[in-house]
Amino acid sequence: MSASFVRAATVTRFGRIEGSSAVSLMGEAAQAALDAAGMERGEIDGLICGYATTHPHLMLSTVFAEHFGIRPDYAHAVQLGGGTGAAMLMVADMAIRSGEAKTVLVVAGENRLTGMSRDAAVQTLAQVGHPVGEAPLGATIPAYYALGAARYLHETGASEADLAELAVLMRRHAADTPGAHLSEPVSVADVLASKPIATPLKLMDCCPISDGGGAVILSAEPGEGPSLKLIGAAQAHTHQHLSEAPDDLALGARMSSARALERAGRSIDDMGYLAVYDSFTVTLALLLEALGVSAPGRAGQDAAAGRFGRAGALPLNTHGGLLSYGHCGVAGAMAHMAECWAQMTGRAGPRAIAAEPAHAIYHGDGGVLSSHVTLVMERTS
Amino acid sequence: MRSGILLQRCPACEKTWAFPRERCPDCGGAPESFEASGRATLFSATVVTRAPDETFRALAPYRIALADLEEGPRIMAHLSAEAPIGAPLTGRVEEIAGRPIPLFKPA
Repeated sequence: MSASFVRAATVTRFGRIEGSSAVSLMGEAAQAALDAAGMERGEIDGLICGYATTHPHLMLSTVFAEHFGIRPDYAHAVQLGGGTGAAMLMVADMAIRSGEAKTVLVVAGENRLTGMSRDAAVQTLAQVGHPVGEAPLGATIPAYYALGAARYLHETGASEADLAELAVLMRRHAADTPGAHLSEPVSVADVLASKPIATPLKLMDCCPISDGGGAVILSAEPGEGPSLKLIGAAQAHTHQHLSEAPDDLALGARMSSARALERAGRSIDDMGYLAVYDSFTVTLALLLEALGVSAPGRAGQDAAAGRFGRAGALPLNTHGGLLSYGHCGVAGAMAHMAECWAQMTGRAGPRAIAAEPAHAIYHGDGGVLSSHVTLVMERTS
Repeated sequence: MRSGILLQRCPACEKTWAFPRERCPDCGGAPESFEASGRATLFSATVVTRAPDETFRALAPYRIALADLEEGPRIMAHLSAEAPIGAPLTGRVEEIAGRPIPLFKPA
């Protein structure tokens, strides 16, 4: 049975990168991935790219292929909101296992911070909401997630301080990660006192808008040294708009993670590293609980107890996540994969986690907990 | 009093929903439109301080809610005052920010 292996996963620095463009950030990340893998352009025969709101195009994959200098046998873009990073890897894995490609470059990048005004970014993202029944009400992405957060706090009895613990943890991790957008440590009190956005979410419950790029090279061959093998992947799509979401808002995460773990022949208890989408603190709480990592309402307290730290039992987003490494669109969630690859293959240097886990899980979600993609990976030596 | 909140239902399978559609999303049947009573229960609410544009910045802070209509569908709406989750609401379409928006208040 053929399989695919992560040969490299890299991100650029995130934050304000003056003069950058979607294509320049994609190219910077792709070159870094080639260099990390010790590969040349000519070895890439498949290309999967994301989308960029600052560079809308019918054919972004071939725009990038021409610009970067590759002529793939197979190429296209993928659009699944925040789930795109994981979905690109899933389709690249399918292309490799089918024999359609041997070495696939997965790449995305966007100058979302410097390429548009903050209002334009907020308005573009709000279009994830329904064009008649939601967006025209003055709703925003934070407002959609705030509605989910208010319900989450009501149902579980968790507090805003519990959610804040997740922001504090991500910032602590980012403080030690070169290239992070936000690296100044914050306390629970700082998060609670930060500017109100949409109750119960404050500014520090929300990820920043960043510039940045990310790239992963997936190959049919494991290459030299430790590598990561994809052993299970699955998706679930329960709704697009919050108004038509199931009462169990993170139902899709339960579905996709259960199926990915079943395909991998593993359980969530086998996982030793977590790469989980964290656009807002509540996103991370809902997903950790839906994946079966934390009991309902307990994700924040698990973070406070040190469970998800570098020295903890189950390290989580040790680069700082979207909440602090930053969020530049599709590549934002690719940073989770880059950190996962570095940690699982002994490349994290001074940020290395205490344990040497054999398995990791990577979960992305797009929309308002609408589209879910889960990948399960195994370390190979 | 009329609510002005329009819903759709499928005469064939009795599914009821809010977002305008050409066909029933369950069975593909031809839907008919009807007006909701305006009676609802609060599913969730948020006070929005960071508005998306100038029009809504003039109104901020404002409350956005998910209201479970007694006919079944859940809709997004504005909420006039603070109310606990589960509270009974009544609402109708009003002009807010120059456009028709369902506005609910505690019943």
